[in-house]
Amino acid sequence: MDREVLLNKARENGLNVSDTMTDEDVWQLIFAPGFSTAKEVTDVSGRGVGMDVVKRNIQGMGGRVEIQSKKGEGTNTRIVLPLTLAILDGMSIKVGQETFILPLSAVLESLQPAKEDMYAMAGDDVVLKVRDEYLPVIAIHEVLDVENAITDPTKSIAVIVQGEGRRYAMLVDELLGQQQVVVKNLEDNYRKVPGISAATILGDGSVAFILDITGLHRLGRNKKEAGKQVQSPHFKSTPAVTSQKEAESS
Amino acid sequence: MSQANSSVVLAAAEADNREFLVFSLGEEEYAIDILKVQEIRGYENVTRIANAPDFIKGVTNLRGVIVPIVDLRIKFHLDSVEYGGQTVVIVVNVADRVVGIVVDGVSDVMTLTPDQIKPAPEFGVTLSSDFLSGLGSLEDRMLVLVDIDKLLTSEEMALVDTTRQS
Repeated sequence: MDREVLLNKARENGLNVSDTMTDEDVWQLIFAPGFSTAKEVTDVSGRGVGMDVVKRNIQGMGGRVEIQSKKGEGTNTRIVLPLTLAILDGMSIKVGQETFILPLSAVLESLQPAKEDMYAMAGDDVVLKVRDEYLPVIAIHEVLDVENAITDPTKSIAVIVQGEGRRYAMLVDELLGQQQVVVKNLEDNYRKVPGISAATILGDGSVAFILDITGLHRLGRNKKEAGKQVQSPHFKSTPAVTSQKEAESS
Repeated sequence: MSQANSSVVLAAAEADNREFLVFSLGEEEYAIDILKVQEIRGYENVTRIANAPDFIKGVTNLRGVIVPIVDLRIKFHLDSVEYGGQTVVIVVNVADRVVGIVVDGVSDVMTLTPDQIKPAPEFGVTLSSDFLSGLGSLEDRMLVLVDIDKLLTSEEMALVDTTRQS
């Protein structure tokens, strides 16, 4: 594709372009509605509709189109589609009155924690000893503020999960069972929610969230730090801020 | 000739008329542009989102689409927030997104002429006049015309990721 031809055409169409635009941005011009470099217009082509529709449909699925091009050599078009249409094997769990889905691939085992296996660390951090391994405990009802949940760890169920190479013990009220769920993007109409990777629709028509394990761990840590800052206002807030940024960028 | 002229003037005036969907929040009457409204449905089956602001009630399943539900009564600091048979959700389409807003009731659709729409005065801490497109006066009623686009995409509503927008 020819950079100059595209830029000139864009200017004719009154689009906001400049010579300093990156090549990537220039190639994206071909997706603009009503944009066409065709000199002749026929009944079916040259009206600048096709590529617009392509992009809109791909974006509708949450994907994107990347173009790399060199004049006289060729063009490489890459269509990147997310796994939003994917079906996920999930373990549905109950906390309080709420149902959540854990990706089954992350679940290793579940057990009833015994009191003597729970150790407190540095005040409010808790680890659970499972076969000579100490796992950080994530209490979902604390991290996600679920009401009427079981707060006594020995009465709840610990699900051992793995995320980004680390293991955690997640405290839940009840295991409901395995099921396949259709992954629905939350960001289409809302925004990214910390600790939650996506949503799905259950058999009864209600919405359940799919949990993001490392996100939950991070969220729990941030919350505890935020709680500490309230107690001691002299505490510098930088660690919480940086970890928040990490959470957003990942 | 003069008749033709006047009909042109009339048509032009009609073109400027805008239709609004009137809804109530407590005792107050608000209105939004009817063209933004997708549908009206009952309030049901909302899944809470953890750590979200209190006026975001959660998300619901609208025929397979996950839609966030915002309670304007909480956002506007109304005293009584009850969920009953009259509570309705207006599903609106703003900025390529579908959002449901909870209101106390929907009353009617009104056509307002441009001179019935008064500019919104500078006031309001909870509801900045940036989010108003004006005040509609209809005999003894006053309608607060909400610019639903601006309101729902504003930063304080926290509905839209600002990073995603850019």
